[in-house]
Amino acid sequence: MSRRAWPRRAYAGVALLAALGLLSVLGPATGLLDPDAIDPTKVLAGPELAHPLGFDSTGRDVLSRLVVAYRASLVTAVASVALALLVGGTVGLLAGYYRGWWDALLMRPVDMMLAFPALLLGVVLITILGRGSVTVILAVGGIYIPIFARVVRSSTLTVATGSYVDAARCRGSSDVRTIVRHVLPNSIGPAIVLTSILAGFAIQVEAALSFIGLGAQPPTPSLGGMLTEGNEFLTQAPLALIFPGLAIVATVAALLLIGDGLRTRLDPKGIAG
Amino acid sequence: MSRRAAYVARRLLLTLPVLAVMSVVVFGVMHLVPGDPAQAQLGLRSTPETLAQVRSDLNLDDPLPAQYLAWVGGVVLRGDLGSDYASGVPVTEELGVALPVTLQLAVAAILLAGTVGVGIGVIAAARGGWRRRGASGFVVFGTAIPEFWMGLILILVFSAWFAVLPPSGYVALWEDPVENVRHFALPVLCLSLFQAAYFARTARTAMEDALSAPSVAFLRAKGLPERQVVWRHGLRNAAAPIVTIVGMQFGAILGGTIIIETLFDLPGVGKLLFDAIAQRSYTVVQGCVVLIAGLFVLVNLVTDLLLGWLDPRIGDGVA
Repeated sequence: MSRRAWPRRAYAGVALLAALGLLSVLGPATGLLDPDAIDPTKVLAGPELAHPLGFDSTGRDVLSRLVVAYRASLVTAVASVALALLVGGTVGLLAGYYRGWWDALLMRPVDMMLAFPALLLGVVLITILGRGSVTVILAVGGIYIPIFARVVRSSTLTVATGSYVDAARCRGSSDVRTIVRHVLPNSIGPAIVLTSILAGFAIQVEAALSFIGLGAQPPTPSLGGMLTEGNEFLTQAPLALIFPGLAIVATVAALLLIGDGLRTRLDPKGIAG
Repeated sequence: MSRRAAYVARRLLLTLPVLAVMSVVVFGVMHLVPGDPAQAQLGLRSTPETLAQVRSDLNLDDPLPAQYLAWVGGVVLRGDLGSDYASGVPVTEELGVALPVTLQLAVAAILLAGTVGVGIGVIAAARGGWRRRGASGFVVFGTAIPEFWMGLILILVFSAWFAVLPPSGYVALWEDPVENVRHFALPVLCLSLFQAAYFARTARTAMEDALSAPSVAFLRAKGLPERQVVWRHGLRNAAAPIVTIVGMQFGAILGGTIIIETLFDLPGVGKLLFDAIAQRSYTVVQGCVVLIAGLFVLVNLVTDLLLGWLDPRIGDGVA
């Protein structure tokens, strides 16, 4: 594998993501943030020193809620992309390694899922599974399963024809061992690039779904839920609308920059798209 | 010509199994969701007798395959998608009212995104320098901004602060074209930003490939003005991947209408679907999904046919 330099933008992405992650982890540790404390005298009040983003319509501190919601969004995004990588990656690996009937059997349903617009697929999945924090993970994961399956299959197809794979088989290596030791490490690159990019989109999709009330249900704070509320009082308390969105934009931008950086190293042929 | 006709025929035939499986999935939605459609239709007024009556009206006592065949038969033979439980109006009628709204929104968004995005991508590839860096920034931030949040910010700025554009609502094009455009301006802008960024990225990559081809070096060597090299020859050779992505993203735009129409209170298919889910009116949910998925298949078909025309090798069965 060629050792190209990491582009500078990738470092910017890592730094941005690390800063946001640190804030969301260290913020609650300071003990200054309480997302559930209600101050009835401060309903929709503007910013003050201890509460730089002001208060929401129930008199709760917007910054505290933002930090907690942000962490929940990150967890949802990571969990759903991990799910999609695991299921979609396995499907793609098997389809690309065995080909023939396996390929047809595994990939036709994948093509069918790709025939649905992503957000529609998410909405349909939630309609079937019911609303809630866990089903959002399943729904967002479900959207990305076919994408991972396609990408891993296409990188596996080339890898599996490599002479080192034949050599492993000739040495009597079992299928499982061949796949895990020889095929997987060489075909996973594009999927890793995709993981970073789709984690960013997963944050957007989760926010969109909870914005229309299909995600985590109140009083659990979620970025989409905060935006729904911010929308109701947008002229009185615009900060409650602006900052959750900026948190999403910064996170997605960071993940995209990291994805771009990973691409130059792990996916020089651009299979991940 | 006969080869082209064969390609079109084969491509048309290929959409049939896709539509068939899609119909099973959509039918499944109604039977997988928790709750009884008969109960949903009657609400609190139900008695065991009326429940039994509605169950037999909706054929809910038949075996599932029979119900499926009856439903598909109704859709294919009579174009009948059932009635909305809540209002009693035929679903096809509701879709007929909603579809023009969604189509205007989606087509306007794809045209705006296509023009701006491809333009930015081509210029970034052809000129380089600050234009290229600016395009990279546009791609990253255009992709990172969630479209519904962008919608909220646009409403805040243009409707709440400056009061120049309406925050929500719909006026039909044939009733008042000016008001129609004013109502569509913000939703179209929201839906097209992400796509424009995506198209810019695709167009830039495709153009870089196209402009590094030996034929382009020859065109430059024979002294053809750069403008013509880029926009006539380069863009034509870069067109295939761009058209593919634009076609694929049309589906994403249709999905995005669920959020954007709800946000801007536009009475399109996305809003209809959203309300139907809230009211558990599953015939309407089915109808909306059938329509959106069907449109998606149709757009993919048109895209493929367009590709066959742009790049004759595809139509000849090489790719």
